[in-house]
Amino acid sequence: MSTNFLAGVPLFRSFDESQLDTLARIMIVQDYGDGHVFIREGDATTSMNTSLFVILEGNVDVASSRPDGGFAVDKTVTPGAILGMIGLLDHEPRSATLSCNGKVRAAHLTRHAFMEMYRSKADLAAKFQFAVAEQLVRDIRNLDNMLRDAVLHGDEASIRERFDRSGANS
Amino acid sequence: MDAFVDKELRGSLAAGMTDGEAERLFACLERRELKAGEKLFEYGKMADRLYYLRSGKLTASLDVQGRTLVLGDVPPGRWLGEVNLIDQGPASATVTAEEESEVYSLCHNSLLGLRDQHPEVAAALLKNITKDLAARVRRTSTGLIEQVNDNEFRVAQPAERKTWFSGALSWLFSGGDE
Repeated sequence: MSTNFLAGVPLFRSFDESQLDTLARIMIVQDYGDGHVFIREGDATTSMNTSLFVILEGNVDVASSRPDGGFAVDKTVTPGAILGMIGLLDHEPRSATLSCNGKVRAAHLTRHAFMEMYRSKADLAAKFQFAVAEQLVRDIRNLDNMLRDAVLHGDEASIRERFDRSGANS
Repeated sequence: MDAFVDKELRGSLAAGMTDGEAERLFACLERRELKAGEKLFEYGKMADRLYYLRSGKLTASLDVQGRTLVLGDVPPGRWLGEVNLIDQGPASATVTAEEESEVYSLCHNSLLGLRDQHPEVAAALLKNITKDLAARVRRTSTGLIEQVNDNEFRVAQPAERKTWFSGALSWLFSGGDE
């Protein structure tokens, strides 16, 4: 039985123990207090501030601004969730604010470590990238199904509920 | 692989690869010619390939309650089918050649072979594909949540909403870059 803190994280379920150990060595585990903001909506992503976070303990609120000027929590994610994955890939401004709801322990992978993985550990990089692609594909299928239902029925009644269950904006 | 195609792919699927890595990838691609009206793949049928359109024109569509919803045209130089390349499953649309077309494809098993035997090639290819997937998820999900939270949209007629959702579906298919 692996004692690696990444064991049990759904994104890495296809990794063997050796690959999990290698990945764990290039990630940094930290504890964060209630209200700590990992990522703020609208912030530009740069090579310096971009990290991917794996929530190990505690809960994180995902919130975004509303067209009426308000700001509200879209959903709360739990241990095992991956945050900041899209920003690591596309460098677009952040689409949501991610903040601790209580104490949180998280592991983060910096963009520098992510790029270094490409240069020095191609097998791990390929496996990691494949796992990320699988997660994005699940998000796309979910969005596709939501939109297909909405085209058929002309209302968005189920969109909020289905969106909340997806990881599509985190 | 002729030099022209090589140059095109080096600017898209094979971006960032060394010459040797690009050659490994090109060796896995299969070429296919389509006649006008011929289907490349069909909605609901199992699909496991990424396609790169070299020349010609393709159209993506969907049958919705007896009517055909055109999702958009696919111009030369675009790739499609990356969702099924990563995760084999039913195709989310029907794609038909509007005119004589030439495509190159990569199947799921070839991708797994590259991942296991030539991980540097797979990592570079997947990096290019995931950037595209990430942009698609971000733009569609952001647009979707803004729309369902919009007060005017909440009171709009069902027909108006259907039109918006149809547009969003096309947007999702196109990668949100139209």
